[in-house]
Amino acid sequence: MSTAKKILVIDDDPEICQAMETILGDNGYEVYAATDTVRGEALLQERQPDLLILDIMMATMHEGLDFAAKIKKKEGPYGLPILIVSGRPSSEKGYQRSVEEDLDWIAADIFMEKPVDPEDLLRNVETLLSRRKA
Amino acid sequence: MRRILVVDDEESTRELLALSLQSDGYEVLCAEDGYSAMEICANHPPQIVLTDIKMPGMDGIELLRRIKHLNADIEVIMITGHGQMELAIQALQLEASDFINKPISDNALSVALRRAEQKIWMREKLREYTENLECMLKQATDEIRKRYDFEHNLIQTSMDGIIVNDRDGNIILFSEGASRIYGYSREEAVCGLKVTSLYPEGEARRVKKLIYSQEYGGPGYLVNYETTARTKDGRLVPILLSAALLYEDGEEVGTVGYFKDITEVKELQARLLEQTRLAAMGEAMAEVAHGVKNILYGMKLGAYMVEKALSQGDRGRLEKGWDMVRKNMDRIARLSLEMLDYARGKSRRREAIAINDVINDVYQELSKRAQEEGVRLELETVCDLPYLFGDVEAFHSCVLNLMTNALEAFGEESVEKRVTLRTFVQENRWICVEVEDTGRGIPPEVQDKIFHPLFTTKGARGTGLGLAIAQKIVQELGGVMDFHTTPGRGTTFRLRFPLVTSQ
Repeated sequence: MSTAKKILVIDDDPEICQAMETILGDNGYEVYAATDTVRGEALLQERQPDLLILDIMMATMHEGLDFAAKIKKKEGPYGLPILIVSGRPSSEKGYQRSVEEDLDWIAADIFMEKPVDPEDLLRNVETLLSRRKA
Repeated sequence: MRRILVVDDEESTRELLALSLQSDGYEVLCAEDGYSAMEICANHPPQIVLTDIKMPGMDGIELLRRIKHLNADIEVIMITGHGQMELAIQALQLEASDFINKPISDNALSVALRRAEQKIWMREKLREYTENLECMLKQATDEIRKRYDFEHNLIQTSMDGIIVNDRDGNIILFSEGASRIYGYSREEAVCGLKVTSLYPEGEARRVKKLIYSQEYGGPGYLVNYETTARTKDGRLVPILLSAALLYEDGEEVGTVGYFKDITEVKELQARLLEQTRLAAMGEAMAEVAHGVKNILYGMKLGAYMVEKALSQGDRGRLEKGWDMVRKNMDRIARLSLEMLDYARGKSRRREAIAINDVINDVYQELSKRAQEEGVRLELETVCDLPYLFGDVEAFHSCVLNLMTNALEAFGEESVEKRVTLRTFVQENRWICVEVEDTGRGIPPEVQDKIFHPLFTTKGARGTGLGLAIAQKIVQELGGVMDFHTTPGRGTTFRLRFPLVTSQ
């Protein structure tokens, strides 16, 4: 089915990737998963997904944030909505930049704090994709 | 100009003498008897008196006596007649400066005058010298007093307590600063207080021993030694003590000590430590929460899959979901066990550890996994490695942990996958264990965090406690752990344990 929306999942935990593939797949999405940003970017160009779900606690917090920022700044296949899943609350400081500051900067579309409920995640995914269509 | 008083009852003699003396340049006063002479001596004192010895009323001898009584500095020359030698001698005994016989010859007069002049001059000089000496003595005394006051002030106003004791331990100097610390007044201290009573039991002896020892600044000195003072009312106060032996002509005569009350410093240190501890605890708790949230996320996803599978009757999906739930339960279990292990601290056994045996065990344990993951395991050990003393199990888990990290250090991009486990002796001082991998390396921004408890780059796969525990174990074994890493090229962790020379 060529109308299926494509979602790219980047999370350094392969099991989370697997579960996301299953859950999102069950809901009719085409899912590509990567456990690091290098492969993630390759998939981004190759598959031109409609949405990115990104865990910002990659190997380092910076890796995830820098990647999100990079994507937001570019055009073409890069201009897709981003849903960030993080273990840290959006208000937490203590790193060089707070997540909030970074969210303003990268304009991540939706920020969700772990443990994310799968139902909420699906609802947010649907919201982001339908908004894009409109 | 010198003033001369001429005393004679004969007017002619007076006038003759006066004329002669005036022409010699003297100011001349005359008196016809002893009484008016005394009056002049009291009102216009002359330097020299020239008096006849034989006079009506008060004679020359009596006049001499009175003049000398009034002012011993006035020189009196007696004029004697023929056959008055006895009177002349008596006059000399009464400190007359000279006598001349009648009739007065100019020559005899001038000799007598010169002699009197000389005596006056000498007396003046002597007075001058004496005055100078007195002045100089006063200056020197003032100087000494000033310096003493200055040094006394230095000692007394010093914020530190300064205490000097003699060889027998008697206190001989006790500054205001010392009073502030100890509560004894200066008088109490210097009247029979022994220096030993300024310390808790036995501490004075230890301090004395340390002064003679090499430690804290070398023999004869004690520099910044932290000890405890016992005050008059029995309180114990933390102090910083510096002291030195005092010598006089090469012989030891006592000790000077400088005491600084460090109660506030200690309190600040304790408070700072407590704050650091609380901050670290807060940070650790945030990290724990973060780890738990990650695991919960996995569980939620698994549970969701289980629920969906149940409603759809999909057995395959059910197993997948359940597997995920199980795995995350295991993670929580491992996290809590490792947290306990980290918190447990030192309760380990102490035994001889054959390092190479442990290395070989770890090698065997991991060889299958390495093979599956396409990692070449290499072993480079030296024989006859000295024993290490400590807990074998802890050492084993430490090496296992480093090896597991090494196996997980490779990415897709790693061209060569090799892990080397190495033992050797370095510089005849250290027993070394090295774990080298050719993996990704450690990014610069996390290099200083890798030993922090709960820091991990492995996402939900790691608890973030592995390296923290490994480092703790190495420290308990008396060793140090360090690493060097080149991003993209690999990392080497090195454990070094001091080589104990054979007992």
